Amino acid sequence: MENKINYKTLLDFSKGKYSYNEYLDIKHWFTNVRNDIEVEEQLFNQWQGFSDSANTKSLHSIFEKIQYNILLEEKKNEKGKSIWQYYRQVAAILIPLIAISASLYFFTKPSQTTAQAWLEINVPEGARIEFLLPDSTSGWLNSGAKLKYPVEFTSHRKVELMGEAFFNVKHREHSDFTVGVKDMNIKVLGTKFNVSAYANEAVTEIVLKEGKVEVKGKTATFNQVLHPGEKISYNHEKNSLDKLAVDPNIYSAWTSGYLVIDNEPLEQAAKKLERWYGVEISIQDESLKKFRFKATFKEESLDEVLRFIAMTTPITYKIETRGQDSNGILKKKQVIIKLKR
Amino acid sequence: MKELKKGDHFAFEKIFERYSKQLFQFSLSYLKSEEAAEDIVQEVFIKIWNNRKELKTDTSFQSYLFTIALNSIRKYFNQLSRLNELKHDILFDSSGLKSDFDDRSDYQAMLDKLEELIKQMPEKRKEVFIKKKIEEKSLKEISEELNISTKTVEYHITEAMRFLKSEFDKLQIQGLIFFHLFIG
Repeated sequence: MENKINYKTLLDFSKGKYSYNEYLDIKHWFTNVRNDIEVEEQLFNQWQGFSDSANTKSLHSIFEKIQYNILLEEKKNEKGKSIWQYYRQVAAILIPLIAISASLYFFTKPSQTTAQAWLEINVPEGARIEFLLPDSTSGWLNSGAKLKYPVEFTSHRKVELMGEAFFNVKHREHSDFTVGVKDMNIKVLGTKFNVSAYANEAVTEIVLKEGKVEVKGKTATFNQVLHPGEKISYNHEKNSLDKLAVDPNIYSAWTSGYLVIDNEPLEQAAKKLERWYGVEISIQDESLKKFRFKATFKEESLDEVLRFIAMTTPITYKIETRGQDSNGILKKKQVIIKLKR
Repeated sequence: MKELKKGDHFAFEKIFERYSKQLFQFSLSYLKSEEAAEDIVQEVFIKIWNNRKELKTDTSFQSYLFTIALNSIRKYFNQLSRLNELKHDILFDSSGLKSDFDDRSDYQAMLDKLEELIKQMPEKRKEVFIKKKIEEKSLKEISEELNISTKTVEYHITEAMRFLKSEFDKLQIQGLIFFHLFIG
């Protein structure tokens, strides 16, 4: 096959003016010609032409990814070095036992890597945080959540969660990913899902958006497989398990900054508001707690949200000024909701 | 460059700021995919960092960067060729004019149009279509993954192809506008 590429073909291609056959020519050149100095020179001229690409979108997020990789790599190297230095010292002191300590080094090495350091992300009340784990699994943590993960993953990737999170798990061949919460383990193979498991709540909820997950109880014996669009709720006080078809987008809307209340009783909605705004809400009348309502908020202030609720339900509310405890530390803002008479 | 050799993170950031956009644009112009171009930027700069101790301060950094970049781009170009083949098949199947199809110089415009049309498809259909035609999954795999019957999968594929055909036919009729817009 003749493989003559001229400058014009290259230039046209890079500008997006080409036919499929011309694409094949370029492809052929890219695969076969390694030392064509002439073409390489032409490409280099083109390369220099791009030097004032000022109006490109910001690439800073890529830099952060690179930085992250570099730091991870450095940490790994440091750890390797310090173990080595430690054993060298041991060997120097115990020269007769050099052979034994060396074999000890090799035999204990695998367990050294499993007994590794854990990192923890703590989200302050009223905030939401996006995270990226060492295996490229990403997601969001909601207000007050806590995520523990190892510095380095083994083939069984495992993290621990308290609170609410949305996971986008990176699929890896022969490597499963488990999210442990207080009362269950969620085993996944590359998928997107929302978990809500707050320590002070009886119910743990998992909503699957894509893929497949397997949910196993830690103390109670249940083992369920979840399909996209399904929600599983486990109440560990009543030891009851519920499976329901839902719209998964509602449950992950918070990752885009939406607070969605979907036909929920005020009691439950108040818990969401407490976490969302980092406040404490007390509902003074029992009858109000069962009042259901539906709303979606974005960027509204606490006051605006309460005003909206007061418009659609017979309530009055009061936001108290923040008090101090005996140590002079500011307490959470208090909201009191009462039945309107 | 000397600071970078010593492992200075700040110097590295400055070099990134200065050359990353050039690298991104150049990669994009050959790979035609922002995702791939971003991967190139990441890969090339990690290489530069890892090889910082071997940096020669007397030769041009531009040509050093270019050499690394070109190698990465070649590799990605090959990786993307399967995807391009698949896209070519879709375009060819949905195009009315088959005889001179491979010589039409508006190929990139058609690729862009394909991308846009896929985005316009209803959510489920788009998902099925991509799994079948781009990820090359079988009817059975898709039906299991999405929990729908193979009949439904087939239906979505047929409808998606019909949609693409009719849209490309429309463009054929308005051909002149289409050509002038993208080629002119």
